Amino acid sequence: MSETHAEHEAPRSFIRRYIFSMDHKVIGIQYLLAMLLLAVVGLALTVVMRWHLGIRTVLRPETYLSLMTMHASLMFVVVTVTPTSAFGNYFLPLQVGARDMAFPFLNMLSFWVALAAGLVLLSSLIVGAPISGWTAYPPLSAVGGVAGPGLGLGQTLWLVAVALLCVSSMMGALNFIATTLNLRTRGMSMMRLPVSVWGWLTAAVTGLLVFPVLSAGGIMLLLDRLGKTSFFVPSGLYLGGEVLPHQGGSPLLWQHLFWFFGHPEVYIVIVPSMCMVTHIMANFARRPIFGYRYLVLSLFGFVTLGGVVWGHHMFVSGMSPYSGLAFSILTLFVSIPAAIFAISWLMTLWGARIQFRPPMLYCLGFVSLFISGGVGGLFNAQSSLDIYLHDTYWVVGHLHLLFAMAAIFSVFAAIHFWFPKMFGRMMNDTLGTIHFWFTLVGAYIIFLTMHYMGFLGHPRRYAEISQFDFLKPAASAHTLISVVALITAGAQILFLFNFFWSLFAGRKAATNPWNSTSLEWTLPNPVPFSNFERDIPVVHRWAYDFELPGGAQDYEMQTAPGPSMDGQTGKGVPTEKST
Amino acid sequence: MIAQPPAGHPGLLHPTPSRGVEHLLRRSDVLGLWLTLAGISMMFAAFTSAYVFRHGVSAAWPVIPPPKLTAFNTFLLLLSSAVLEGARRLANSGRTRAGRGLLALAALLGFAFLAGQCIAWRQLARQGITLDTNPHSSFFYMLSGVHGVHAAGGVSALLWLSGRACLRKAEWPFHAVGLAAVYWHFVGALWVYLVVLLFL
Amino acid sequence: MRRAVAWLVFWLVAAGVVAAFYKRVLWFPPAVSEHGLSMDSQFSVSFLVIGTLFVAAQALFGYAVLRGRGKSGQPPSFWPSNPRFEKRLILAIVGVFSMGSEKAWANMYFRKPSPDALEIELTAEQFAWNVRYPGADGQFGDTAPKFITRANPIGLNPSSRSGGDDLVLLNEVRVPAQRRVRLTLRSKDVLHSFWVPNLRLKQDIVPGLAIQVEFLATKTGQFEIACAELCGLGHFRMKGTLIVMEAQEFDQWLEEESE
Ligand code: HEM
Ligand SMILES: [Cu+2]
Ligand SMILES: [Cu+2]
Repeated sequence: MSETHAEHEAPRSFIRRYIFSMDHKVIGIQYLLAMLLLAVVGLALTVVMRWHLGIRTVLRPETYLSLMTMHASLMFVVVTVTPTSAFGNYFLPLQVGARDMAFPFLNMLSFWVALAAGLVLLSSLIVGAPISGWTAYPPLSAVGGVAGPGLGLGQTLWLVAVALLCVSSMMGALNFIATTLNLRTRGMSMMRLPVSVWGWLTAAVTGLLVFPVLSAGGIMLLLDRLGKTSFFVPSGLYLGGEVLPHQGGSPLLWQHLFWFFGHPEVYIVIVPSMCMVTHIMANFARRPIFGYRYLVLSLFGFVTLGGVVWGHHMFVSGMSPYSGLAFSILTLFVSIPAAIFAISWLMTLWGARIQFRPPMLYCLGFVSLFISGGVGGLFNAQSSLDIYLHDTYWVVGHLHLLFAMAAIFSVFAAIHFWFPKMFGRMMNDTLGTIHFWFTLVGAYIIFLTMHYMGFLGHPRRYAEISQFDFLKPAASAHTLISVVALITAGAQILFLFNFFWSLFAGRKAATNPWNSTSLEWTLPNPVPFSNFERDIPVVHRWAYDFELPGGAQDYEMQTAPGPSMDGQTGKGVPTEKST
Repeated sequence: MIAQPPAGHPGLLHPTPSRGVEHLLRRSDVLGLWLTLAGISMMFAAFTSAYVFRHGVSAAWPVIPPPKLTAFNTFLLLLSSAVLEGARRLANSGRTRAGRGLLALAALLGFAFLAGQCIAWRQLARQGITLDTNPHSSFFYMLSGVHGVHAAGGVSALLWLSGRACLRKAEWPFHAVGLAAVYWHFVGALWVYLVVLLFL
Repeated sequence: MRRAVAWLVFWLVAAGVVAAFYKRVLWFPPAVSEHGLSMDSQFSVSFLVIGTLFVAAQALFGYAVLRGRGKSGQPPSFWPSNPRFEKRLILAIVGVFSMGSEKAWANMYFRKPSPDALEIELTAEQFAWNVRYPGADGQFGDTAPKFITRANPIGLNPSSRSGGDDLVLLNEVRVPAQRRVRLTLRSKDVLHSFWVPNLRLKQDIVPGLAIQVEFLATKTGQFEIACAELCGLGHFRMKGTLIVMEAQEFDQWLEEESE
């Protein structure tokens, strides 16, 4: 094992350098580009789906459900992987002051396995994608092709992709935790870490604990499909004109395993997003972030509560109503750590002189979306109300505001913010601003309208609404959503153009274009192979010393000696004289 | 195990004067190992709760007889663990030559365990007990299979280490053997746990 | 001045929207069940409290952002946060919601099965609802998957004694108003979910389990039954009809059908 992370010299050949690279920076960029590709495919699928739902019925129902499953699964991979594995990979070692991840070889492996997961997922699109949704509830997902199209080979490939993703995420998690705990430079105490690092660490710890649970469920589901076992498939199912041989399994068992993973999974997505946003926002508000300690505490709150609320996805599943009651009350407590973050953002912004550059705009958009989505969660969390809302478009709206839009906004913020360090050039502000407004307004129109369709009682995963009278009023809402969705999807071209154009023709970036404070901004562009050319700097303060009284500039880099506002002055500063 | 930085190249990490780079890297290895064990434990915790849940929803719960080889295989695996521990201690007290032999023996015993598990599977199958016979047999095959995959990882590491120790006699991989030992004891304990869960 | 007008308009619109929900101008399809009414009042309270919270949070946040466009840079004299107040607010919200919500929940789930409820069995299958009444003897005949044929969709055992008079219908549930109805929900194949927006009733149907729910319909009329759990390619057309009739009318119908 140790061989792998031994001191590696800069590789010379193209392949070792850019393809099978062990350099965390190259791997970060590989992750980013691969996920961009998956996101574009996922987006293209929604365009077809929205065309079908709101403009003209063009798909067969099973095709619609296949596209829906693939869209959700691809986007699920994108939002799970991008905030942590792309940006964390590139910037966690830089921000803590390390020359690479603790296990570079594992890091490389983790990328290639994730890519394989993405490709296997895409290949299921070719052989006929499953129609069982991203939650893959058995028996539909467990009994093979008799239950419907795409549930044969397509579903098996889907499960293989999930298993690969689990393996890749666990390898990534090891790296993130070991690097953060062990490879911090001197003076970088835990309470001086940039909040973004805390986010990546939290996601990694959560992932390490829950991805194994999903793998366990995935193995059992695969055995039910391929080995005719009966973990999840009950006795006496009558499908395709005959009685299936399975005996006595429980579909609810899968739901418990899946959501024990699934709820923490939403934190794996949103926590690093929230933390990156907090970090970037302080920079453009030129303000120390408010309540750093409480933010760290509430991260612990998220991880702990995340482990005990999974049943709120199962209020009407047939689970005991007493468990429903307990899960409902526990879920309401999630609003405490969420509110701490919201209050911190509000206080950081209050009275600040905000610089409205695109990274900041996306952060502000994130906060607004987060508030809206979180408020929706207060309805879902009340078990009695969720009887009505569950499995309707309300939930689709809720999950997209958070899981999709907020998380993607944090990715946009991160791309615009760190682009200069990653690629040595600036992205275009005007294009960024236009793209921001289109996307924000589009997101609100689309997903608030979906909340409204939830009021109508519109079930989710319906290929058409033609069969029901109570869905008639939803027709115009569907059309509105589709039109706006097409425009919003089109607006993403602005982003893609900005990204690729700036890659080659953007303005050359200075070392520290945003007057930022954390360690990555002390490094030249492009960042050298071993990150810190000679010695790794010693850290003297946290990353949020903006607006210092009496300074010539309004910020201090973490490497600058002197008193700080982090409440840690004098702590953790090295005492050894010799270096 | 750890290559020295090329001359003139700054170290990978921030060495503290007293301890140096290697110390930090090793600390990461140890941490990484324990985190891996935490992940594997979560997986088997999930299997355990699935087992309890599935048992709970069944009216009848026929239990398959343990394969005849189970006791012997368990003995092999635990013996392998003990031998490896012996190798580690001998080497640590400077007797690497004796350690080499024990290391190879531990690897062979581990390999024998895996082979024994395969034979146990075939014995069961010959009795007509297969993966889909009943939920208990499904759990038996699945749990022993997943455990076997983890054991196979351990056996490969042991084989590779003993190969190294025999080829490069001068240096003994203290660090790697220490890590492998922790992992291997874990695999042994896990198997005992599974036998207790399934058959007691 | 312009800013003041903008604020006024904002708050008026926001208050209007919240009030529209609270006063049920914008509302769900009309409730026709007993527990539906208690659910609706919990919805009202939630709209009022959460709606206010939502508007206030977005407004404070928007205000901070707009202010941030000014060039003053002076440290603000007023801070919008008061940790003690916030702690209490959050705990109050958690408390109020858990109590209100769980009351509505208990209202539905924690009540003794009523002895005189009308028994109906619903067997869902890929894309249809089979509805069964026990007939004159009040007993359902036993069923098994091996007896399923086209003519016998729920697999009624032909030699069952109490099964002879069972009444089996397709996609049509008739119930009397003002009488408790106990549904036993089964599935032949995959997960389904019994969903009647007007009843405010949604219950997943799990193959292998017989899940029971009770409701009491308060108004007569025809209401649609939809499937709310993805069950395959025909999920969107798995439609049934709930017909709530006057009690005598219902008894008469049942008698005629049982002939
Ligand atoms: C105050 C915070 C939140 C609360 C109380 C809350 C509550 C809930 C509840 C009760 C459900 C289940 C609804 C149902 O299926 O009937 C749900 C669904 C969901 N939530 Fe949240 N939520 C919160 C925040 C979040 C966040 C931050 C995310 C993600 C970033 C998120 C993502 C999701 C997703 C993806 C689903 C849908 C899963 C599915 O059925 O496909 N939620 N939420
Ligand atoms: Cu959840
Ligand atoms: Cu259905």
